[in-house]
Amino acid sequence: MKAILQIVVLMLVVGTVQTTLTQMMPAIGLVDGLMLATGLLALRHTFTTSVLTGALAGFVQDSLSGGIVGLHAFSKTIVAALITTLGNIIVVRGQLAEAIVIGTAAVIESMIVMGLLGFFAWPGVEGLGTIAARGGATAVICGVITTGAPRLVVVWHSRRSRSLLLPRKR
Amino acid sequence: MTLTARSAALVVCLLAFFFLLMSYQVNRTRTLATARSAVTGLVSPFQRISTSVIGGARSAWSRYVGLLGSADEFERLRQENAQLLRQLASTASARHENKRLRAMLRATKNTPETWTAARVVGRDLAHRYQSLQLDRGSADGVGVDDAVISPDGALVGRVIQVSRWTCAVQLLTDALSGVGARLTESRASGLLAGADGPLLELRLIQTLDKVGVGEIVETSGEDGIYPPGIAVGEVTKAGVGPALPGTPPVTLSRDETALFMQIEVRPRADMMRLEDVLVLHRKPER
Repeated sequence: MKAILQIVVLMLVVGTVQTTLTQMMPAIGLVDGLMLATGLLALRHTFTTSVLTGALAGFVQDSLSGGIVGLHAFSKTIVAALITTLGNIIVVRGQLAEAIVIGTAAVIESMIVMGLLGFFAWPGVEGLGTIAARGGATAVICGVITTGAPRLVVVWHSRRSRSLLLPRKR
Repeated sequence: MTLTARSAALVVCLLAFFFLLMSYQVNRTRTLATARSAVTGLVSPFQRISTSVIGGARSAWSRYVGLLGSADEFERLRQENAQLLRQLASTASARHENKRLRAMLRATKNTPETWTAARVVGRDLAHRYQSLQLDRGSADGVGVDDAVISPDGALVGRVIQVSRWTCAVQLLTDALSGVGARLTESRASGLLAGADGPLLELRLIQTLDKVGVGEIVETSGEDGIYPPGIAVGEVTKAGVGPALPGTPPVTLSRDETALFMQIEVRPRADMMRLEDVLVLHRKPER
């Protein structure tokens, strides 16, 4: 419960920081900070926690974006599940591997969102170039983050909460 | 139930829930305001603080850097100020006349009397919708469908969601946005729709109307949301069928088969650089 609460706070902080920074520098909007946080946590937590993290991150994103509630919650839930499953099948360690996985996840998430927008006939479908740029930017920032100080926060959080959750690897 | 089956069940339940949530919002003008307000209410104090801190740091830095060119800037501003004072003197009489005519025509019914200045504290987090977040909410008298304009009077959008301390604004450029608009010279009215990019599309203008590039577009007030007479932007392209690049003023003959023109409008407000805006409060329904 404590771990979930920490994740809730983390997602709210990430969402707040990103929406504020996007106002200051619109290019930052291309990097999906919540996808980044979801991916990094999904690689370090159990399946259940990861899926809940993805759903929560998506819900925060939907709430702060002024769009359709449930759109990103849906896509991030799927992506979080995929990342954790992948992390259980193959070893994803090191900055480069994490950056590639999370960048790809950002692209997959965008495509899921595009599919949903198309399914419900909502406007706002992006071009493939934008999606690729989003994935690339997220991957690059992921690489920067995983080599920097913010990584310590995620790792610290994961170690603290690991005792409360089922370990992913033995 | 095994852990795997339980996990799969959780994913399926979550996805089904979100899918139903989205289905609920199809063809509804307003999305789930309560759920959204809960999150925005939680983060709005932090947004205000972070905006103040980052804005303060940026302002301090820009002031330091600005000192380098301050002498030239001062001289330019001094000249601009003198010019503006001359313009102000000449517009004072026009304003007085305008006020008198408005009173005579009793045209103030839809004109908002009060407004609130607000600061932009956030942008669309998904980078898919064109929306802003302001640091004013229902506590400041802001309501849904209030029009939002830039400090120089150009239309920015409308309030689509309000929490106690913040509100979300749908920009004109959003793909779901629609504004009743009128061309100031030809007086033709149409629907100004967002194109999910920096430009807007003016629809439902008949091919029989004369539309010139550079013509000003203003709100018509026919949508019941935006007060009439607010400047929106100017025509950059006009034509029939596919938009014509760099088209000069277009006059179409009556034998054209197309019913409506395709008109591209550039908004006057710079949506990417908005920092402060004015929220025009709607008058209560009588």
